[in-house]
Amino acid sequence: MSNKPMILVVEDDAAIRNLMAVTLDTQGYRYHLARNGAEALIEATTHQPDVMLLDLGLPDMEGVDIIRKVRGWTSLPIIVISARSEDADKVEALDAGADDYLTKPFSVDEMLARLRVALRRVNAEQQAPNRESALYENGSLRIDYAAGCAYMGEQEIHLTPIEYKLLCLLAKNTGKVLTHNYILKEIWGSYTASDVGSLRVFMAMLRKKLQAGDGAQPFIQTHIGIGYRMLRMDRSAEDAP
Amino acid sequence: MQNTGAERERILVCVSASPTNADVIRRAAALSRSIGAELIALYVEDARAHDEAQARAVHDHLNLAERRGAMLTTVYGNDPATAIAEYARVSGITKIVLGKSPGRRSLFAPKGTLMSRLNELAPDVEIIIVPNRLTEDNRRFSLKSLLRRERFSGPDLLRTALILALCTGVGFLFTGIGLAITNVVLIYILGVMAVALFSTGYVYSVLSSLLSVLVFNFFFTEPFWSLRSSPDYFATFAVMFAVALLSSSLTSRIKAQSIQTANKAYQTEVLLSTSQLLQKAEDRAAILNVMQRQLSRLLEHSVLYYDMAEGGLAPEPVLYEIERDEGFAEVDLAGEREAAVWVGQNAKHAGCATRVHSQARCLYMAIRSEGKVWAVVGIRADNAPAIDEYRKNLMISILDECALAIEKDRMTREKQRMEESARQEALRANLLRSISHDLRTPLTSISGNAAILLENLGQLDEEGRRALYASIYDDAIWLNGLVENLLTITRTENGTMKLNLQSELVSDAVEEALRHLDRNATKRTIVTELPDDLLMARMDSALIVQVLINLINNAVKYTPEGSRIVIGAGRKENMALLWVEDDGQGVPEGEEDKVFDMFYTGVKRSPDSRRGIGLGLALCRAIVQAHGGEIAMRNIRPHGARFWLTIPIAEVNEYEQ
Repeated sequence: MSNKPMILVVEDDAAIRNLMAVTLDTQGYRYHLARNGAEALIEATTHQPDVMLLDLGLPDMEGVDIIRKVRGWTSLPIIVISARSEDADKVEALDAGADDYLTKPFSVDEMLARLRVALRRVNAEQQAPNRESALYENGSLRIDYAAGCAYMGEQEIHLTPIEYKLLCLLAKNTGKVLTHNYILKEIWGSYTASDVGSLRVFMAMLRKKLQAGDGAQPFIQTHIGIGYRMLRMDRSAEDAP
Repeated sequence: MQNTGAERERILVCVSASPTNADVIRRAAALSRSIGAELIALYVEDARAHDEAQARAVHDHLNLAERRGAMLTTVYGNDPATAIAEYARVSGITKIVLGKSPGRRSLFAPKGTLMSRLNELAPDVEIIIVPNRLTEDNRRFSLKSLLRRERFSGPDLLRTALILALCTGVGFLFTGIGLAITNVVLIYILGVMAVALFSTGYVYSVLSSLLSVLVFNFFFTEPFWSLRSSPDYFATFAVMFAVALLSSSLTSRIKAQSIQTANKAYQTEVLLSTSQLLQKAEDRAAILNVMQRQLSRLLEHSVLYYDMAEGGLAPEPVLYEIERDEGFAEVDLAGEREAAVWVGQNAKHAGCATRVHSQARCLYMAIRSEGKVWAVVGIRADNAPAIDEYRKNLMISILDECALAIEKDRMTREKQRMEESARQEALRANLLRSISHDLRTPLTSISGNAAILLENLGQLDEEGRRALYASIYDDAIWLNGLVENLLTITRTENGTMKLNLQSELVSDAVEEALRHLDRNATKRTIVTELPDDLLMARMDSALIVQVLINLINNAVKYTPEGSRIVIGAGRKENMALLWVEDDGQGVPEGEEDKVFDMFYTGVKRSPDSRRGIGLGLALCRAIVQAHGGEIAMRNIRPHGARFWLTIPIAEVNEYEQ
C-alpha cells in the first residue's frame, strides 16, 4: 500500500466530481470515485479509503443511511458535502457519525483544509493506537487524564469540572465536529433547549482559557448553529498535507 | 302584476291555525312548482293568547310549508290584512294564496273580509283564493274553537267579580251620600273597563257588561233588590250595556296594542344590541360567542355551538352554560352529536321538540346563509318551559344575523387574502424582473471570460489570464450571495418568517460572518470591537450571520479601497446592539430610512448598471424585525455610514460550576 492517502469521492454530479478529482490529483492524493450510494459502499469495502467525501443528495440512497452503514464496520473520517444550507441536515449527518461537513459552493482550498484535518486525525490514531489512556498532547495543549489536569505549555490551566469534562470530550474527538446535541448528552446526560445557552457560555469560557496561553490559532472552532470542534495542532503538518 | 325580466315570481301563502290551511299550503306549493316561483309562507302572529291546539296547528302548518320548499317568515300585527299587504309590498310578492276567509275575526276589527281588504291595500298583487272544501267542518270548528279559546279562567273570573263588587260598594257609598244614580252607571262603566284591562279575552268584556247591568238593576233601580224594574230604566240599561261593551272592547284593543308595542321594542332592543355586538366582533369565533350569549340571554337556556370546518362539524362544541337549566353537565353531548351532524348536513332543525332526533335533550339549529351551514347551535330545551313562538322568531332573527356576520367576516378575510396575494404577486414580479437582470450580468461576464480563456489561452500573458480568472471567481461569489438572499426570501413567504431561535454568542455570529467575507473585502481594513465576549442573543444564527454578511458586503461595495470597516457589538438595556461602520461617503441626506426599501440601490444609476437590486438591506430589515429588533442607519462625521441593529438578549441561567 502506497503511503499516499486514499480518498473516496461520492458525488453524483459529474462537474463537481471532476473538479474534486482534478484537485485531489494535483495535490498528490490517490482517489476513487463513486456516483451513487451502492457504488460508495462497494468502494468503501474494497479499497479501504483513508477519508470519504460524501455528497448528501445522492439519487439512490439517503446520505445519512450510507454513513450509518459505513459506521457499522469502520471509523474512517467522513466529510459530508451538502448543497442545502439548512443546518438541520448537517447536524443529522454529524449525529449519524460524520466527522465534518462542507457546504456547496465550497472553495477548493477549504476542501483541502478539511481533508488535512481528517487525515491528521487518522495519523494521530495510527501513530498511537493504544495510547488511549494517560496523556493527550495537541500542540502546546496537554491533558493528563490520570491527574485530571490540563496544561498549556508548562502552565496549568485552571478549569471548572464541567470545563474539564468538555475539554476531554473535545480532545477525545479531535478533528471531529461535535454537535450541540451530542455534547449536551455526553456532559449533562440530557438535552433541553435552555442548556444550549449554558453550553455556549461554557465553551466561550473554555476557549478563552485555552487561548490565553498561546494567542495564535484557537484550539476550539465554533460552528454556529451546529457545534464545536477541537483542531489538531500538528506543527509538522500545519501547512502541507 | 306582470313581472319584467328574469325576476322570479314570488308567491306568498298565509299560514294560520285553520284546518283548511294545510290544503291551501299544498296548493300554493303545487302552484309555485308549476310556474317555478319562490314560495314564502307567512304567519301573522298577533298578541292574542293561543291555546295549545292552535299553536300546534300553526307549528304543523309551518313545518308542512317548509317541507314543501317554502321560506318561512313571521310578522307581527293585530290586523292580518295590513301585515300581509305590507310584507307583500316590501318583499316584492307577486301572488298571494289565501284560503276562503272564515269571516271577521273580532268584534271591532276593520270591516271587510281579508280578501277584499287585501285587494284594497295591495292592489298590484294577484290574489288567489283556494276554494274551501271543508266549509261545514270549518264552521263547527270555528264555534268550538271560540269556546275553547275563550275559556274561563278562575283568577280572571274572580277579578271580574271583585271589581264588580267594588263598583257596587262605591255605588252604595254614592247613593248613601245622595249623589245622582247616573254616577253609579259611570262607576260600573269604569269597572267594566278595569275588567277588560286586567283580564284576557273578549268574553270578560261581554260578561262584565252584562253583569254590571244586571247588578245595577238589582241594587240601584226601584224596586231595589230585585231584577224587576220600571220600563223607564230599559233605555238606561241598553245604553249602559252598549257603552260598557264598547269601552271594554276598546280597552282590550289598547291593551293588546301596548303589549305588542312592548314586544316590538324588546325585539328591536335585542336585535339592535346583537347587531351592535356582532359588528364589534373581530372574527368568526367572536361572532359565534356573541350569538351564543345573546341567545342564552334571550331564552334563558344554556346554549352551545359547533363551528363548521372544512371537513364538517368541529370535534368539540363550545359551551355557554347558565344555572337556570343546569347547563350541559348531564347531557350526553357525544350521543347527541349525531343530531348536530344531521343539522349541519340538512340545514334544518332537529333534536328536542322536533321530529328528527327528537330524543335529544337539546334543540339543534343551523346558522346558515346562501345554502351553506356555518355553524350548528344547540339549545338545552328539555327541562325548561318551551320556547314560545315569539322568542323563537327572535332567535331565528339572531341566527340569521349571525350567519350574515359570519359571511361578511369570511368575505372580508377573502378580500384581504386576495389583496395580500396581489401585493405578493406584484412584489414577486418586480423581484423576478430585477433578478433576471442581476443574474444575467455576472453570468455574461463569467461565460465571456471563460470563453476568452478557452480560445486564447496561449495569447494571454500571465497577468491578463489572472485578471480574467479573478473576475470569474468574483462573479461566481457574488452570484452565490444573491442565491443565498433569494433562498432566505423564499423563507419569508406570506410575510412571516420561520425562525429557529437559539441562544447564541454574538461574537460567534460576527466571526462566522467574517469567515464568509468575499475577497474584495481584503482590500479594506476590517476591525472588530467585541468587548463582551459572553454577550448572548436569541437569534436564528444563519439569518443573523446573513444580515451581518449583507451589511459588511454593503459597506465594502460602497466604500473605496483602503477604507476602514468596524464591526462591533455591545449591550443596550435588554437588547444586543450590533453595528457595522465605514468611513465612506454615507448616503444622501434624507435617504437614511429609504435604504432598507426593496430595490433601493443607492445613488441613482443607469438602468443597465450592474449589481445591486437593493435586496440585501430590505432582507436585513425583514430578518431583524422578525427577531423583534430594529435596524437603522445614520451618516456619521466626518464621513461614513453606521448601520446598527438590535436583537433581544438571551439571559442564561448559569450552571453551578
